[in-house]
Amino acid sequence: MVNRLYDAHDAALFKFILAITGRAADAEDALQELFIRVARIEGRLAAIERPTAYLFEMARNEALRVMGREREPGIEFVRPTPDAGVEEAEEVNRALAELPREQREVLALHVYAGLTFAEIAERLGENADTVASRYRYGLQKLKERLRSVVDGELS
Amino acid sequence: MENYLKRFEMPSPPAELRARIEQAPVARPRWLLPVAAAVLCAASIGVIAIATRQAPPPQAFVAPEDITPRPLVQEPLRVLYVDQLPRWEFRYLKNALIRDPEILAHAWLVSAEPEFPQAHSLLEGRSAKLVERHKSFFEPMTKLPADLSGFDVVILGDIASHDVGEPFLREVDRLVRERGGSLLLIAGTRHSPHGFIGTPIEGLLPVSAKKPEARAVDRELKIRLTGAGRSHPVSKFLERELPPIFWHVPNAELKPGARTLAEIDAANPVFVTLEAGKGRVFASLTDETWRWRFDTGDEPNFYPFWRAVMTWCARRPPPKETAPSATVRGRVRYKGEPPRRNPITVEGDPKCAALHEKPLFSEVLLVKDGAFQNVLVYVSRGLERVRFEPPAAPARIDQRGCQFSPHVIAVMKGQPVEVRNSDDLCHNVRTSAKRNKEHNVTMFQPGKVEIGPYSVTELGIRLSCDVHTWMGAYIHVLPHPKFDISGEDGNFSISGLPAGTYDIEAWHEKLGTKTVTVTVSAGEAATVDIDFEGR
Repeated sequence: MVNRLYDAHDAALFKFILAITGRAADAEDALQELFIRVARIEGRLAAIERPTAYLFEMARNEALRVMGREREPGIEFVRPTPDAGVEEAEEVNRALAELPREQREVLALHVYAGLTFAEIAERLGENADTVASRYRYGLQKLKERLRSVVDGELS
Repeated sequence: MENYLKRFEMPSPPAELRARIEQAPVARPRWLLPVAAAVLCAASIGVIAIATRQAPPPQAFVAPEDITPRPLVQEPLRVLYVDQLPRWEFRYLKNALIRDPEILAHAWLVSAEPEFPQAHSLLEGRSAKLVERHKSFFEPMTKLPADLSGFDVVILGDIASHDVGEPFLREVDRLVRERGGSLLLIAGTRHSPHGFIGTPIEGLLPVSAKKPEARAVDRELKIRLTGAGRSHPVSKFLERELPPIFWHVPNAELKPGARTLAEIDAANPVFVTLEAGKGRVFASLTDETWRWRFDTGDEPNFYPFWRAVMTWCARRPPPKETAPSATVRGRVRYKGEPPRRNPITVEGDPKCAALHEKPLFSEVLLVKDGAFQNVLVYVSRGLERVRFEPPAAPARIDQRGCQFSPHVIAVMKGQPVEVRNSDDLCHNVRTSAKRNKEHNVTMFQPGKVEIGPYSVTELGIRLSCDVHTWMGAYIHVLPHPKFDISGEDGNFSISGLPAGTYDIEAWHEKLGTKTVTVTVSAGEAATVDIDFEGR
């Protein structure tokens, strides 16, 4: 059961936690501790009505716990790729750090974990419209913040 | 925009994480049962509930007294951590080492492929400044160093002696005995410590032990401190009720001169130290201190413990000049026409009006002969690496005669704060904080309320009274006690600073901030004046 949950959700959970902490080392710790906890309640998981939403809620708590009292995220959300350089990634990371946490969570799950709004809604125990508008607001803010960079790229 | 974002990638969980999670012993400590039951109960009625053990109240990290505060001039400890597999203890300790700006560490996993990132310098997450300053240390390692003179501490995990080779172990022995370095042993089921018998470091082992049994998962073991452990700098601050562990090396026999700091019972030591030549050795006969992190994270037990072990073993007592003795003082001045103090109309509250035959005046801009009162002056840069304990005594603001007194206070993060009402009438205490908890308390009669301690640093938390709208005061929450509020003569004085260069910032509610940089040597006082332009 625990392994199945892990295999089904590890990538999305990791990105979700990373969207909260902004530090890969913290995200690893949090994911690990999350599954220690899940393992401890394994026998009772079947009784939980919405186990996936429960899992993501636990993940969020774990992420916040790892971050400690200051609750300031780091700025390692995304990494450069052959298409996009280090400086651009830094710019995007800084912009992401300024978003409200909820918007960053949805952005990570949609853009980087490839989940649909309906799937995200199920995982976060939210309504799909709420998820979609968080996404829209987040994207809007990024657009404003990164206008010069993105425009330069596109022209 | 979405397509632009897709050019980047978000990392995925490392593959070895799954393996570690699979190995995780599933144990159900007794104290979890009620919590799990509560979760189940909540879950069955469709409520999403979260299982948490009540974490201890927030407390500042306070290292054992003989190693804190570490003076600014001290060089970071240089640590080499060698293990075979990325086991739990390794993972958590490695990550904690990365987070600690006073530790420079290399990790070396003998099982890892050369490209495996954990076999490199621990650069991930470190500040560019730190890496730049210690460039030569952070050169990636391509093999275990033959010469350990660049290190203060070597941590040996569950490795076989043939994994590292005899010459390396001989060098470890030399590091400890001749150069006063230190060795930390973290036991494991495969090789440590029994596998080191008959190797060049046999003489450094604080215990001798047989090959231990496999890991059991159903037996909770409670670690208790021995008499020596309760007063020892590496363990005296540990909580008395530590989360249980599930494995240790049983029946280890102490070598002559070895000292047990913690044990399961009299026949089963867990933490043992030994003085060897000029250096020190520490052996942990369990690799499960990571369980102390459950629900609380690195603090208050896990990392403070390992940090104290490393610091104590490395014999780094603070240099002679222990009491920081530098002082920065000066005067806050107001340039320009002194502002007129507006009288306050107190008629709204007849009880209050009765208290004041003479009019009250605003306390926002208090200037007398150019001296500017009620300005916060504090060290804004230069104390990042010194830790302070918050005072236990509360900071106080009084409400007397329908004004807050004093008008400005500064407190340390974690310090209690109380507001008194000394007036025989109703006050309402409201705080407007951005990063901290806000309060709104009505005090119908004289008395006091607690509004702290504040958990996050924040400047300019405004305190007001909804009954008497002219009443205002400011609370500043700082990470250290090196601050002062300018007095009637504009003077301030910040003493007890380590020698160094500091940014001193002055903060006023109307006129904003001014910053000056000052360098001061031990035992001396530097004088700086801070000028605000009036408007």
